[in-house]
Amino acid sequence: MKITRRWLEDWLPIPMRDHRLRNRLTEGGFEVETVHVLSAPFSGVCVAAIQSVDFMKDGRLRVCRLEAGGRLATVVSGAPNLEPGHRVAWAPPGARLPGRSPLDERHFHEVLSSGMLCSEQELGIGTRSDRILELPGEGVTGVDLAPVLEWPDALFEIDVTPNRGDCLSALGLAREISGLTGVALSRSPPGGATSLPRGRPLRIDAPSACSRFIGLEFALLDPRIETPLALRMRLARLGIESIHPVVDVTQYVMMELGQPLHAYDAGAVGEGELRVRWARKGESLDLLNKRTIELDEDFLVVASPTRPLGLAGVMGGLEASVQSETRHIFLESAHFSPGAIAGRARRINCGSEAAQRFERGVDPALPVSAIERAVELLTEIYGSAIRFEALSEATGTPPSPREIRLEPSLVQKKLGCRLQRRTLLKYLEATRCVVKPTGSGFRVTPPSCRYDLHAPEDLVEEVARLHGYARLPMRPLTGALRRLPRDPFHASMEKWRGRLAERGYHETISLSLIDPDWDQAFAPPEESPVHLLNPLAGDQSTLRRSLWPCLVRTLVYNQAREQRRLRIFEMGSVFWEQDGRKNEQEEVAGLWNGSSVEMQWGTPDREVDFYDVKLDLESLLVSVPGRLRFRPSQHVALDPAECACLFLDERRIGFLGALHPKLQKRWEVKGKTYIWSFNLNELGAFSDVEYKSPPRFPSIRRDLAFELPTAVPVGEVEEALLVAGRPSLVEVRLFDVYTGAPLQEGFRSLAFSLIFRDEHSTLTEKAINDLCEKAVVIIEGGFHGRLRR
Amino acid sequence: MASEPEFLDSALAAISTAGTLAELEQVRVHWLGRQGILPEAFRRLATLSGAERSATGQGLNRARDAIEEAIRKRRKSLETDQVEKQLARKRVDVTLPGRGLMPGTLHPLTQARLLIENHFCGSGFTIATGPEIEDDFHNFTALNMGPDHPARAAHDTFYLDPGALLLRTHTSPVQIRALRRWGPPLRIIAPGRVYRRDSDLTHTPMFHQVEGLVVDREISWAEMTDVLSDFLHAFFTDGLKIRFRPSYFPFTEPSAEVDLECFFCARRGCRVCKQSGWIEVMGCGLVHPEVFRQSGVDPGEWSGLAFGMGIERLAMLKYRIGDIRWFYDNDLRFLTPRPAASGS
Repeated sequence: MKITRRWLEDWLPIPMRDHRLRNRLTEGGFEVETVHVLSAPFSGVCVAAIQSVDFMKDGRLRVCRLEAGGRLATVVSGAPNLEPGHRVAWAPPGARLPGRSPLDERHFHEVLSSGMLCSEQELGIGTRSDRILELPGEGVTGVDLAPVLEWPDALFEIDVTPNRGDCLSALGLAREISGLTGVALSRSPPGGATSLPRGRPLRIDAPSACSRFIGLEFALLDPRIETPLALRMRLARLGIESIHPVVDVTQYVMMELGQPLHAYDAGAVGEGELRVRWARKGESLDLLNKRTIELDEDFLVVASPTRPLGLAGVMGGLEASVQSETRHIFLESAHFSPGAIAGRARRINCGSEAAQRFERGVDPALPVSAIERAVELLTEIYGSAIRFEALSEATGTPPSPREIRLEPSLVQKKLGCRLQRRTLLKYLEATRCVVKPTGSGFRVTPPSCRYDLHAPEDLVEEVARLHGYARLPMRPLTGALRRLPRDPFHASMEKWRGRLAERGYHETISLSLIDPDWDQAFAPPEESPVHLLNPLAGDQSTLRRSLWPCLVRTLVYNQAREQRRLRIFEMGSVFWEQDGRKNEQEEVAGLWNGSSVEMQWGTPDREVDFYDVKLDLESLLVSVPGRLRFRPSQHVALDPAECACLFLDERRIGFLGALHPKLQKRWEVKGKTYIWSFNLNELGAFSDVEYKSPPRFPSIRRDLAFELPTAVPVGEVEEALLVAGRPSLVEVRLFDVYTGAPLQEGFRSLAFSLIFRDEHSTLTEKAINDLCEKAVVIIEGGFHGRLRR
Repeated sequence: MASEPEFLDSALAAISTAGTLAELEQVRVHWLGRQGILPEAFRRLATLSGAERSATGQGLNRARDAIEEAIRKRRKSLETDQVEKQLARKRVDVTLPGRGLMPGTLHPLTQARLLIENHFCGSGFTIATGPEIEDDFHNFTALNMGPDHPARAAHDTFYLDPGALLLRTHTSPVQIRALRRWGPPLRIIAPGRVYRRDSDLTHTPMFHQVEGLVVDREISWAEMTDVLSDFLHAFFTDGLKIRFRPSYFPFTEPSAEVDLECFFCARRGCRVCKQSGWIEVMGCGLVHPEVFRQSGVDPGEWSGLAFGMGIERLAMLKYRIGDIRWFYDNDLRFLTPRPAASGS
């Protein structure tokens, strides 16, 4: 909401400067976002009266003799509208106009011209350049022009909260300033005085949606008349463009009083009755903004007997709109209830100033004042060139006044402090409520413009606001400390985050809204994506099914910015649809690209490989209960040669592998890249750890090396060894892998350290030898291997 | 006066040229050992007589003292040399860089969130969470924003199903879920991602909020302002001026925005505070009775305070980050910060 100080000063004297007003409004709940000081684009220009006008010898320019505050001057001008007696804007020598050097005296043939007479354009205040500015009426001369045109002024941009529709006008804000400062309003909105014959019949078919519908009909006798400068400038400062005097008046009244008005071309409306009714199925309407909308049955319309003419309280129709040649006008001033308007403009994606006000609530008393004010302004503009013809009115059900009971004990309970009864009374009256004291409290009837006051709590807020939030006390929190069960899985997320960072991973956070193409490239085809119905952009139209596209995007972004090595991880939700249900779950995913270690002395540089990354996952999951296994697998985004599925016991929890060569190529990723992810919901929590007494008997180590076909997975050999060595074999550790001579092609040597220990005794040489024998038999039998000696 | 034996000089010369401890030992044995030259000379004293024996004896004694002293000094000097040489061999170049792994980093939004969580958890709050795909009831209706409520206009919503499922526009739905699940009394904070259909220089379509809710029998404005002032002082700097300013949220009554005195310009007015001297950091209020009713809590018996803040905003202010989009670009050069010269 934009308003200038001059608009506000129509209603009350403001006893403070702009920055103080800004603070007072902000502290009162009307956040002033900016204050722009408006000053005249010119200086030194004054008001002068033309005394005489004579043609010069060339017959084109004219010589004007001016009087300005007793000072006489001669100015040469070529303007067509030079009449003795007119008051004009005179820029004497020394005056400054926008975009020009200071004015000087200048000879036109034999005449010395002192400065110039100015057009709106030359003054920088309007677009008219074909004639000089005329100041209406009679008045003093010789005075500075700037204050006459209401300079300086200050533009306040105020964030009016959605509950305070009553403050979307100069009057509403002036009332608020009055309540906050105690300065009384110097005038009140006009009451109904205009008396005219009744015109066309009006009818309200939706009485609860429209409590009042007033129509003023008039004829414009001189369509050349334009909106006067003062009114145009008032609107321009609020960013409203002048269109047509009648439309300008509707805008002016709305900004002044808060009542939206709508002007119809009476010719296009026709002769018959006008109705306010709910739209009918199948009806459509061409709106003023040239869009056609299909009407729902809960849209309120203003309609002729044959068709809708406008969307009530939102926007008029194109057909009956006022054009520059329109002579007969029907001016609507109506009250529509918030429930009948709210949400409609948003539904058709077509907001308007009128809808903004009606859906928040407009004072039902305003339509009469607004018509009266419009008559005043139209008379001022058109004088005798307007004929007011008729005034009609229909009424529906007026909103019933609400009565709220307020107990001082509630104020104390909510604000944590006691306020005197008479203090409460003072604040309630400052909000223009009607207050009746009862036994212990008050019966409060809010003014008709305050749609936001329903419950006693609303009144508590009014009291707090007027008292000043800064004056309310503060007190430390006391009361129940209740231990709520915290989701253990969320607690463990932070541990994982910390662990990954300690291992050298950098955390990234990406938008969950991604490009469907990226999403597609990383997601298994059996899961459907979740698309937004109303995305902002095509590349943010899908909720990610995997964190991988985000990580690879980050990799590509950083590779374009000199990064040669990247270890990153992200935690966040992924989304998918299954059997019509939309699901989300938390995942963690990581990416490792480039070398295995950061460049450093004494460590040979080599590219990251599968086993580097595998250790990250093993160390990450070391404290999760259950046995972690990596099994060869397939994934659409992973290289088939380097792809593992992670299992925790028999639960599938994630994947690890090299980025698929085709994806690597598609996004021109440089260097070897591994990605991994696992599902945090499946993973459960970090388990409580368990401590055991230290072993009482020594352990014994035996090293065995086997020659095995290369295709035999080490994991299976380890499992077989563990089974064979039960119960004394406590650990199997692979310490060497060898291929090459003297081994046959297709074979490799695996060297294991077996650690034996018994809980109850020191193991004998024979017992260990027996277990080793057993292991050898199993390996040789089960895997076609051979013990190396 | 007796003179030193003529061999003393050659003895001293041999000692001073001994280059190692082993050589020195050989020299010592040669001169002082049982079969050495000096003991031999002493033994020969017996063959001398009278005054000659006495004079020669004194000379030999002095010579022995001198040789022993010279050997002691030489040994000490050789020992020092040896230690020095060993040291020179072992000494590391302490300026060579350390080897191995440097730690990674947590995202600035995570760091800010953890600071917020830790503060409130220290005051007995529990962390609660809710889904990012929400329904209209939890996101709007239960929070006193009916279908046509004008406040919905400020929540530009991404929809997944017409009118039914949406991406939550704030973390406030967790208030409803927590109250329905646990009932009063409670103290929770709910961090999480939220989504609004808005993207420009200062807005991203996804961002992070932390919601807070305290419900108990006696919760008033006085407790709320204290809880939040305490938090802001802990998160930013003690002593900063804080302003509670009337505002409007459909789910709280009374409501306030919380402003912090602008610490970029000491309230003189700057770009960050839009010349106002104050920075808006969060919203808060007392829980609206309608929200309690929608959550099955009796508003006559219980009262509550609620607050919500944007983590991006707080992190930008605390870490002086100039552009919200940096959080989501994930440029590694941004993600790996240096310690601030002095705490912020």
